[in-house]
Parts: sequence; C-alpha cells; structure tokens
Amino acid sequence: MRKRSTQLLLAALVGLPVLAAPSAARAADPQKLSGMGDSISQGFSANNLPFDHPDLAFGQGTDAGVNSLYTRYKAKFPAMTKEFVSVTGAQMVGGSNNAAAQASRICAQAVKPNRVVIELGGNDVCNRSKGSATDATSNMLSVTTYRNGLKAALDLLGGCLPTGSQVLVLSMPRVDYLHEAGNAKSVFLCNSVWSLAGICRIVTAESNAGRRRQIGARVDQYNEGLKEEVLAADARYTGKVDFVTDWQGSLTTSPNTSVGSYQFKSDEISTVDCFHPHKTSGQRKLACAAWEASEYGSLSNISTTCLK
Amino acid sequence: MSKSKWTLSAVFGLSIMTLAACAGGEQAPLEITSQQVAALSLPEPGARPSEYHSRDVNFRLFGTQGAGTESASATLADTATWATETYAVGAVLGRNLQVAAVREGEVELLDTTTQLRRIVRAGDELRVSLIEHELDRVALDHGNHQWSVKAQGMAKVAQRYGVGATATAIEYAGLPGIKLSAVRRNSVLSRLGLVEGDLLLSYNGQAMTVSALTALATEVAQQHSQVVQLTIVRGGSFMETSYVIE
Repeated sequence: MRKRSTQLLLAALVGLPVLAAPSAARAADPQKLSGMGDSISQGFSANNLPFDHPDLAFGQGTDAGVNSLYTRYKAKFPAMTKEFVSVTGAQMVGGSNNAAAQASRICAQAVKPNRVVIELGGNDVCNRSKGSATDATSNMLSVTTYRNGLKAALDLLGGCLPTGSQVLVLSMPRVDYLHEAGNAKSVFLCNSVWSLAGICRIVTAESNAGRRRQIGARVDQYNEGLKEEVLAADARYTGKVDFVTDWQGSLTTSPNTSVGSYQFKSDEISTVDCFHPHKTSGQRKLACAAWEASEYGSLSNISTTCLK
Repeated sequence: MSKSKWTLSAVFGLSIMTLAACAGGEQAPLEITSQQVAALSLPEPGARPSEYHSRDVNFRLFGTQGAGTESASATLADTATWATETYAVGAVLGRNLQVAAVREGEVELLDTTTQLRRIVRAGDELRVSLIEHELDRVALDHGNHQWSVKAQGMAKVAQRYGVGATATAIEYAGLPGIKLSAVRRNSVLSRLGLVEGDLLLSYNGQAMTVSALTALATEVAQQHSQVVQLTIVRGGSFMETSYVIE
C-alpha cells in the first residue's frame, strides 16, 4: 500500500524496527476484490450490444482486451477471487442500490473482500431533470448530499472490512461532455437514441454549452467532495482500512489525471446508446486508471499511460 | 376526548415510543385510532383504521437542495435498507410525516397526527413513527432489481387506481417494446416502480406490447407462485427486474 510503503521507508531511514510504525494498516496481500458501481461497472453495452457484459467491465472483467483491475490483481496474486455487487442503474445517493446499500451487501458477503473498487455517480447527475432558466444545476443534488451518501458507504466498509484492506473510490466522469462526444459520433443516431431512451437528458437535451459546463462544474465539486470524504475516511480508519482515490484535480487544472478529469471521445462510447464506454477503448482506460490508483500503480501514470 | 386532549396524549404516546426505540427496546404494536386517521396528511380514501399500521423508521438526512427556492428538497435515507429518496417541500413520508420546511442543511418534518415538529440536520439521524396504509407495501423493492408483490393487495390497487399508464410501441437497440406515458400515482405500474419514459422491452421473455400492459397488471394481482420478469430500460440502463408474486 502506498501509505504503508511510505511508513516502511521512513522507519528504515531512521533505523526503527518496521513493527514500530504507529497504527499503520498491515499491508495484507490482495485476496478478494469486490466492486460497487453502476452500469459502467457491469460493462453495459461494452461490445456495442445491449445488456450487461460484466466480463468486459473495467473492474471485474476477464476479457484480455480490457485487462481489468481483477485481471491485473490475478496476474500478481493467482488465488485472487472476486464478487461484485454493482447494479445497473445504481446511484451514489438515491434509490435502493446506492453506495450505502451496496456497501452493506459487501459487508454481508460470507468471505469479506480486502480490496474494493467503487465507481458511482453518473446516474446521480443523469437522472436529474433540467434546471431552472437561470441555474442549470438547480435540480442537482447538493455537494453535501453527495458527500454524505458516499460517507455512509465508506463508514460501512471501514467498519466491516478486514484489517489491511484497501478501498479505491474512482472519481465520476464529466458526463456534460457526453453531448459533444455523441454529436461527434453521429448527430442523428445519438440524439435519436438519447431522446427515445431518456439518456442523461440534463446534458444531452441541453443545447447551451455554458449551461452544460455549469453541470460539469458541479461534477468537479462532487469529485472534490469525494476526495475529501476519502481522506477523512482514511484518517478515521487508519490502522484498519486504506481509502484512496484517483482524483487529482479537475479537467481544467489537471486534465487526464483521473477518470473525472478525462473527456471521453466519440469512439470510446457505445454505438447502442452513445453513452456507455466501449470495452477496448473506454473500459480499458478505466481499468488502467483504476490500477494506477491502486497500491501497485502510480497516480502520475494515469495521464501518461491510461488517459492519453 | 376533546381534540386538544387527544393531541396531547398522542404527542406523549409518540415520545414514549420514540424513546423506547432509541433505547433499543422492541417496538410494541401501535394501534392506529380513528382520530389519527382523520389527521393523516395523506389518508387512503374510505380506509378504516385497521388498514393502517405504524412502524419505526430511522432516517438520516444526507442533505438538502435549493433551500429558499421553489425547488427546495431534502434527501433522506432509511438506515435499515439505505433506500434513499429526495422529497420536495409538502411531500409526505408514509401517510403522516410531511416535509414542512427545507432550510440550508436541515429539514423540518411535521407529524400531522400529533402536530409534533422534528428537525434533523445533514448527517444526523431521526427516529420517527411512520404510519402506512396496507396498500403502501403491496410491492417492495428489495434492491438489485428484486421485488416482492402481494397479489391480494395489488388486486385492490388495480380495482381502485387502475393500470396507471398508457404506452406507445417503440423499437430500441433493435428490440421491440413500449414506452410508458405519465404513470398515475398509486396505480399498479407506479407500485411496481415504473415511471414515465420507461421502456419495457420484454415481459416474461416475450416482446412487450401495448396490449400486454393490462395482462401484466392482471398477472401481478393473481398469486400462483409465479415470478414476473420485465426488461426495463431507464436512462439507457437495461434492468432485468424480477417480481416475486406472493
């Protein structure tokens, strides 16, 4: 683990026995990976066909072309197992499959995981209706609401996971750029599909780019709040569970350094719904970013290796 | 009993219940009186007191939105299941708890049967007694797109509120199906969790048609140990939803 590695290095430098590192989570080898998430975690339409395709998903996938987080762990730890609780349509905050509900399902698993990856948030934005004439974000959840939804889940995991676990919370993508990606792909096809299926209408039906950026700015705030909650949980559960995130700053200030600061391109989204990430482009990039944000990667590699 | 005396006793009754629940004690059955029914914020038309029940629920306020505006809302999670909903001012939880006010970071709930006002702040929890009508729990969402449905109750829903929506034939992702119009509150489709704009692509493995909507409403109101399966597309996500009919 990154935090543990730093502590070990410091201990070695000052000549202290490693065991003296105060209250550090003992680095347990990865044994089981669980995941919380939505349709992206379920690999929905990752092969340009409808329905979930978890084998093509960035977290739990087994397809070589995706090179998922699970596949990468498995390569280092062949006994690694997985049990995901992600649900298509899930939100971070709302509904019956939200982050806290999924966390409680992980806590109920017979064999607890010691690695968890979380990818949620897109539906919290996309399920909201169009804002007022003066404020495109007026119907969106507040940052406090978003943070407290995540906090409830992190506390459940902090309480139930075994000592030495790591929870990776991925930032949420800037869905406001979906409008641009879809229109670059096919104005007719994407707008028809978005309209028929009601896909993320808060941005796909918003013709004003300035208002879409307002929504994107709220997504940035969610991601900043996400990072603060992750850091706070990491402090609350020091010595037991390590909480980490990929978020390093917004698309404006730190482009391509995290899932949340990456602008998905037209060829990286499904031709079925002009929304979900494709397996060998979108899902593969997410897998790479998740790995680099975990204890065996480096955050600095996300922009140079994963999200170029 | 005069109204003022009843209100006072009801307030004390609720307070005692709440304290017992907070102390971890078992909840005693709470009889719903005709006076309470008369004071419900959202009564079921013509329903007798015996058709209602009360249960203690622990809510956590995740946060509020738009305080001071027309679109003010509060997001509350039931900590037993973590099912979470966002309520506008004036919305009613169960039949008795009205969202009286939403302020920055706090919500005020009014129990119309006791006139007791409770305030909870973002991140904090509040234990309340929720009065529900038997029809409110005829279909329960257990998460992961798994539902249970009480056929007998759903038959009453169908009789009283109807199917609840019309639909138009569509084709999506190469699959035939239907798109729902506005879904009427309390109707069968509403109880099954369906909302306006949902695409229904299949019903028990067969392509969904406009005429099959009525068949669906009939099926969930007849118990013969069956599971009804729908493929629902909402916001682009395909949800394979199962309803276990009891």
